[in-house]
Amino acid sequence: MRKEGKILLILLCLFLITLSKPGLLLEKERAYQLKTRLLPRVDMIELLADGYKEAVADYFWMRVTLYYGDENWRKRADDEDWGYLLKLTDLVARLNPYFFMPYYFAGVVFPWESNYKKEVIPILERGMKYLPDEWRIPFLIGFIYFYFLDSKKRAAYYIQLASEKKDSPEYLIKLAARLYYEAGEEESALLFLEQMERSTSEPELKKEIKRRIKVLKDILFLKGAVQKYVETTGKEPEDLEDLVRTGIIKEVPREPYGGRYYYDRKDKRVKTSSELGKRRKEK
Amino acid sequence: MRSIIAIFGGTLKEGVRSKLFWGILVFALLLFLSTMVVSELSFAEKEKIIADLGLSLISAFGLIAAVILGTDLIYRDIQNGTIQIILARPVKRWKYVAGKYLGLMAIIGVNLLLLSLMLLFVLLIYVGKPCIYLLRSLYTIFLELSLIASIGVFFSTFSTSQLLSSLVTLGLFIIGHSLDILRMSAGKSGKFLGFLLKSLAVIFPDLDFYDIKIKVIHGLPLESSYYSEILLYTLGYVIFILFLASLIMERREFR
Amino acid sequence: MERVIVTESLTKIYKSGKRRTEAVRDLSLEIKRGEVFGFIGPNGAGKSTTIKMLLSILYPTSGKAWVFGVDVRSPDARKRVGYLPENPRFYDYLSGEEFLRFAGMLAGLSGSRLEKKVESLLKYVGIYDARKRKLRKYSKGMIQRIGLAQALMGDPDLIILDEPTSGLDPLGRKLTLDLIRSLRSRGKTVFFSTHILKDVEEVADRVGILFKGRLLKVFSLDEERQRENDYQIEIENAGIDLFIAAEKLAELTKKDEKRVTFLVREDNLFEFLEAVRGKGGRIITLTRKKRNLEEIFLETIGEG
Repeated sequence: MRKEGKILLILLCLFLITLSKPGLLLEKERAYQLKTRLLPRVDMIELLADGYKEAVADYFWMRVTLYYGDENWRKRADDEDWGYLLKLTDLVARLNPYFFMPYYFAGVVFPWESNYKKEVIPILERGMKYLPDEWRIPFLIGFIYFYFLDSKKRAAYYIQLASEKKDSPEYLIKLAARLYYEAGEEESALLFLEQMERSTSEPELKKEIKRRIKVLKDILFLKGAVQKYVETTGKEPEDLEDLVRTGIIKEVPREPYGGRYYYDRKDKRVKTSSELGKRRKEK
Repeated sequence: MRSIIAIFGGTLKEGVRSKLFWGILVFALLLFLSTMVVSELSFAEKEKIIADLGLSLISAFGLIAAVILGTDLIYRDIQNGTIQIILARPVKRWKYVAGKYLGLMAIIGVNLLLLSLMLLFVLLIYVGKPCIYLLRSLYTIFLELSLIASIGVFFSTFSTSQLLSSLVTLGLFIIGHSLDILRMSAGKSGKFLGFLLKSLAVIFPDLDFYDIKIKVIHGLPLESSYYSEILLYTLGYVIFILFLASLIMERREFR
Repeated sequence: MERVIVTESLTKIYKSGKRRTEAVRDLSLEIKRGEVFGFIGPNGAGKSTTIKMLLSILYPTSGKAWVFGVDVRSPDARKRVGYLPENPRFYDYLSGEEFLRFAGMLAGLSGSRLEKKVESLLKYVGIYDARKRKLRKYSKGMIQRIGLAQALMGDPDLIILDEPTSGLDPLGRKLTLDLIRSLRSRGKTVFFSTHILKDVEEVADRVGILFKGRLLKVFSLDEERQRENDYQIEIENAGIDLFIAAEKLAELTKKDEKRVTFLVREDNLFEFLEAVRGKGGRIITLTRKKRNLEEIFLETIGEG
């Protein structure tokens, strides 16, 4: 074939390809959209992938990051899209349960950017089972309960769990205790703190924990006193001084943070103005 | 023209008489039957599951056939020396390539047809209705395989190891399905690497175009222009690749 | 007279890294129409390489070649050519019949002409009964025969055979040589290469000797055999004095009761005859002894 013939042939091929490509790209986009609404059958994939589960998990993880990394997808994603992404993340976590990233991704991304908050928790709980040394997973659960689901008691429980794991940051102990306190779960907080105090060797931390223990003991003590007051007088005290006046207690204990114990009639709880060290008064 | 038909016929006969061809079919049949078992795991949508698995199997086996037969075809003629009497005839070498390729496509076509009949049969038994709608997928699977096959044929014109050619062809198939990942990586890499990856993603045929399984299984519509577009797209690449293969054959010497 | 094959300084050099192998060097040759040309040389001399260059299976490093006046680079040069490679292998999975049909289509035949030709050639080479059997099941001799049939499919005017009798039993060899003879009688040109000198002696008109890639000698077989040779003379009644006289001029090659045979060089011929006549011997036969090809061959190579 002559030179011109060859060049013409190459041009023809180029022409055919570029002519058809745009339409095909469009069709592919459409399929893409569809794919995000049609969910993979988890149990089947688990069955079929047996033996290569990690590799399949990696593949799906890549798809997760692909979608999430695509700004256009994030902008246009609706509930269904996020639901699909969550299912994919869940699938990855199921196929390779010892893989930390999907749990982290689930806990960090979904509650903030989508409407899926409590749905993330079962995934994270599974993560706790498989990665028992990982403090960040229960921490995330705790955070979600605290911040998004407004359940301080459960939040406290999970933060406590997190704080008990090795390498967890110190402030988790304090956070757990405070959450318990705010949830009105002073007994739980006390138990938790006493255990922490026993297991901590660091002197500064020990001191901190002891202080909080004192506060909680005081609050529990005062709680008991208030109850007695209600039983005897039939109404709630205005002020903690009422307890002293009626002789139920000798005096109101001193708050170690420099704050003041008081009775909150709205919440019907004994609280401290320093909020367990949240606000420190100058000594 | 007659030479092309002669070579085409010879290749087709070779394929249909080869043990590999029938081996693949038997193996596929066994797997098809097992899809029925797998579908039992799901409580609903048995038809969709069998159809999905079935089409995937057809693609997979078709791929194996395309890669193995494609890389073997011209390679074997050269290794055996059977190519000599053909070259000694007044036949232009590109006609040899064309005849071989057409014969290969005929073999793959027969292979796909038989596999599809098997799938339809399985579905008929299991679900009770003829799922003709699946044949739409057959069209795109065939086109995708013709592209892969042409790459295999290209390698077999000069490679001295059939194993290597098969692996490379398979690798290119995987790359063709991962162009999205390539594009994403291009965005995250440095200037030079990013440019390289991006141009690769542009030049390479995007094999995702051929995947219409989802639409077919769920009965969703396709643009009517899609069928002709995918054909043109395939032709563009196949003609170019075979052209390159012919150039190589033209310049080659044979022991 | 038409020149069927013409080559001009055909050269093929293989380069592999630093090594340089000259397979064929400066080969210039002309094959005339209607002749049987035997291309001889030891293994590795470059015979197959030359043939493959004529058929454009290999490309020359330099030099040119024409077949029927057409440059070999064009496929048309192979239009009237039939080729049988050495140690041929064909498509195993085809039957003899299918294979010939395939070859015929490549040669440009079709339809009923093709079918007739297939049938006649199958019979001609004696494979007709085995025609439906797959080539995989053929013996070496049968492969050779189907190979010859394949080469003859397009009724070619030039038939090129590369080592056509190597590995064959005597029957196969006879068939091949008979075929070559019959082709010549039909006016075809045959170009064949071999290292078996006997074959060439039996059927070739002209001979080319190839050694280490170079064409050393091209000659007509008859002419060369008759050049420069000796006479063989059978004599009766040879007495002692004849022997004494003869021994100076000739070599005794055979002696029995009645006759003796001498080998006499051309220069000494007349002196010898005089001596015989003088001593009373009677000449029974006087023939020119033909040189055989082997001698020519070895001599040429020795010089080369």
